[in-house]
Amino acid sequence: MLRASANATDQPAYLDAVRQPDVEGGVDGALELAALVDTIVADDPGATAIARSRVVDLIGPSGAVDATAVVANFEMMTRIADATGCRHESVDADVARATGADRFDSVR
Amino acid sequence: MTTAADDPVGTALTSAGLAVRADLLDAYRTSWRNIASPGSWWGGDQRLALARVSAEAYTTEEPLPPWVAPSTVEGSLPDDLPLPDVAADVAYRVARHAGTITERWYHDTQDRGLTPLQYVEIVGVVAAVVPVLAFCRGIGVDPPAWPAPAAGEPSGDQPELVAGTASWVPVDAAFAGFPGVAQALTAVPIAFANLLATHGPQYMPFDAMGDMSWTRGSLDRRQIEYVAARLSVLRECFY
Repeated sequence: MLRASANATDQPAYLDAVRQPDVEGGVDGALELAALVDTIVADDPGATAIARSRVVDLIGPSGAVDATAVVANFEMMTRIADATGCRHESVDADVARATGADRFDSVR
Repeated sequence: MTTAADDPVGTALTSAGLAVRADLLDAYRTSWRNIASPGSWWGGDQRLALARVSAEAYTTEEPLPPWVAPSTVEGSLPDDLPLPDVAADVAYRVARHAGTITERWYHDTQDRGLTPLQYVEIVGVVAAVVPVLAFCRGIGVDPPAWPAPAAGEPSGDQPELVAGTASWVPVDAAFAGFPGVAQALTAVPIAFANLLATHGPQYMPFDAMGDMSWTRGSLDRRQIEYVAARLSVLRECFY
């Protein structure tokens, strides 16, 4: 969906940015958004507060709320998918390399 | 005056320094009612117990490894769970280690006594409680107080079932043509209802999914998908 949204808006959103938020030509605010996602997953309240503050400064309070809600949604969807066996049988090699999916534990 | 007991979700989420959208508040109120209400195969007290096991699994700083069932480790689960051990074990692993679940393990849960629809309902409870906890983490507030369990027996309601076209679990025949993850919980109405109630407020309405320039006015679509992709990679989810 990231690639589709980039193609549709004719703006770059290199998949490499998913693993490397500082990659040139990535999504606006990728560093700040990635930090918010990462600290929520890591359950690090102090770091989350800093990350949230930076998203507020960059995108606004509603942006921080909406980004957090997207995190919540995919904490839900990833569990549903993984627990019920909804997995792609194969992943495009470029996507796998760019996102690091070729190194997921479940690949091995 | 509304108290925390009347509205635990509203009390928790409005304590943040950030204003939470009304539709998101309502979605999470729905989730909190959902986890304490009788489902098709588990009672309200059982669903609430599953939610509490899920929350412990999601938040503990010292989780058990994926291959260790909490029911086999003394002190990992409350003594008075109104559930079979296998149900608590499923809730724990889905909440903490979902990316490690295999089809063989899913079938093993049936050898231990779970039916496929009981399993789907447990996944639905985890899917209702974890997002609320994640959202609270993100906005920097404590999770809501647990609701009281609603009385009533499991309904036994189930739609006409078919094998999932993209999953291990049975699905509602009416949704068999839907994308895999959208059909995955349809066999258990209370689980699917929570997904429908929360997906739009958290992410975007289903009917907007094809609009690659859709925005709520804050994040643009690429930013939304970037957050989704980053989270999915961290969770090592192949979907």
